[in-house]
Amino acid sequence: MKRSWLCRGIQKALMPASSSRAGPVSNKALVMGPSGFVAVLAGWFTTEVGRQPFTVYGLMRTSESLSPVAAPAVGASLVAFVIVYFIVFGAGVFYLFRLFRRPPVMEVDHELDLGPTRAAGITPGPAQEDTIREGVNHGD
Amino acid sequence: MEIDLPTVWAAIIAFAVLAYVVLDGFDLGVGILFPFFRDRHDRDIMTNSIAPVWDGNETWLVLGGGGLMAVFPVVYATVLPALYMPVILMLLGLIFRGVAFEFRWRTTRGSIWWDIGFWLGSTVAAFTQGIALGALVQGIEIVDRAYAGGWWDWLTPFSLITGVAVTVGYALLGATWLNLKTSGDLQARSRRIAMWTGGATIALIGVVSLWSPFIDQIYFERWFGWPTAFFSAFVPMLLAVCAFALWHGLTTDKHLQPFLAALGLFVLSFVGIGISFYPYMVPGALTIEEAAAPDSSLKFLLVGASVLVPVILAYTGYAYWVFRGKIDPEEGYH
Repeated sequence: MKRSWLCRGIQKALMPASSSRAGPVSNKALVMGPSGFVAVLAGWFTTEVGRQPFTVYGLMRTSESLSPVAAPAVGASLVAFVIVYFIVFGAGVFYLFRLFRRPPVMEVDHELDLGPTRAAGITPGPAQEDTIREGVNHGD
Repeated sequence: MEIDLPTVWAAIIAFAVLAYVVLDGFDLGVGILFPFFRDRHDRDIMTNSIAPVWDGNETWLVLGGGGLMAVFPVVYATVLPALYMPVILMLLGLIFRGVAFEFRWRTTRGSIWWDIGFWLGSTVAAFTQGIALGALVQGIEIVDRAYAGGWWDWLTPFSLITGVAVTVGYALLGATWLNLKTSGDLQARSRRIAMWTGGATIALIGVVSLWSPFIDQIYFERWFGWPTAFFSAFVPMLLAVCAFALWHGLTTDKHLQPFLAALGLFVLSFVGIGISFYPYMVPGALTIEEAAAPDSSLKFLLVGASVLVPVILAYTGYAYWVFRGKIDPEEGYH
């Protein structure tokens, strides 16, 4: 069964430890991973570009809806946000790929811990000794 | 039945802002206190103490700010451009504080940087909130429902003092929260910090309270002019009661009392601001009535808010109930 060079390349980059005998479904599922993100971005671009030059379509133009904030301040804040986002998303992607690199481990001797061990909305990463600090429980 | 919708909504927004200040107050306070705890394990416990609740606490800011846009759009349109720089800095601070929560667990050598980010983000967020408050008390120059002032109007000695006051106040909230949630050496040290920050907070509240009547004649008349002085005199008296409760609770090793006393200081300061401001939303420029959106919008929004805000309060209370009690130093909240 042939897999495209794209699928193979992505699989190799993200899961170097994985077997090349992986089935067809998992490769396609992998490539479709960012699809939700792409769909949301596509939707936003359509909305924001499509309604130009109006803010309220047919009623108020974008040029009329400006706040009285000085251009240098807006420019500086935009630059600041770009820098901060590069730092935050860059670090996030870096840590994310480091987590991807390890396949999931089957836990043995997993004790049932009673009581809440999760912060709301946080899903645990797999137990990995070199990405967490020693002596700190991560609820696993 | 005739309800004055703008006043009802002003009360709801005021409640949301107060809820944000006291709830995120101790979250930011824990971050502000980071440099005082050298041991990494101590800092882990500190973040674990707020990890289950900090997300929900920050969302009250969204309710306050978003609600302001929906209900008092003129205030949103005039005050936020006036406070553009402090607000942007606050947002950047909150971003770093938020991600540092998670990223500090993902690395061993780099975690000190994220701890610095956590501290810096918390301190910047607290300081800029105080500056925004001070700038608002001073008054925003509004001509014809648009902001008409300069770009650095918010930067004055008074707003810098209020910035320091809010930062120190949040540190007090953080220290009393740690006194409530931790045990052993960590708790003893947070109690000592609470004594110092408590004294500093009360001193700064005094400085700001005595300064602000001289900022604007309206405030002077509210606080010193008869007959309103009779009612406003309750605020300093109750502040003294809270200050005593704080000192007493800390010296007699009470756990909940210092935190409640610190909360009381914040609530009373907020009430004091309300006394100074009412019926203005933007002092000297916009009253609540003038700034409100049309009644139909307010009614529409009130229907939603009257269902959702009790739900929010219920699940928030439940979350605090689930995570009640002292932190077990061995157990993770992550």
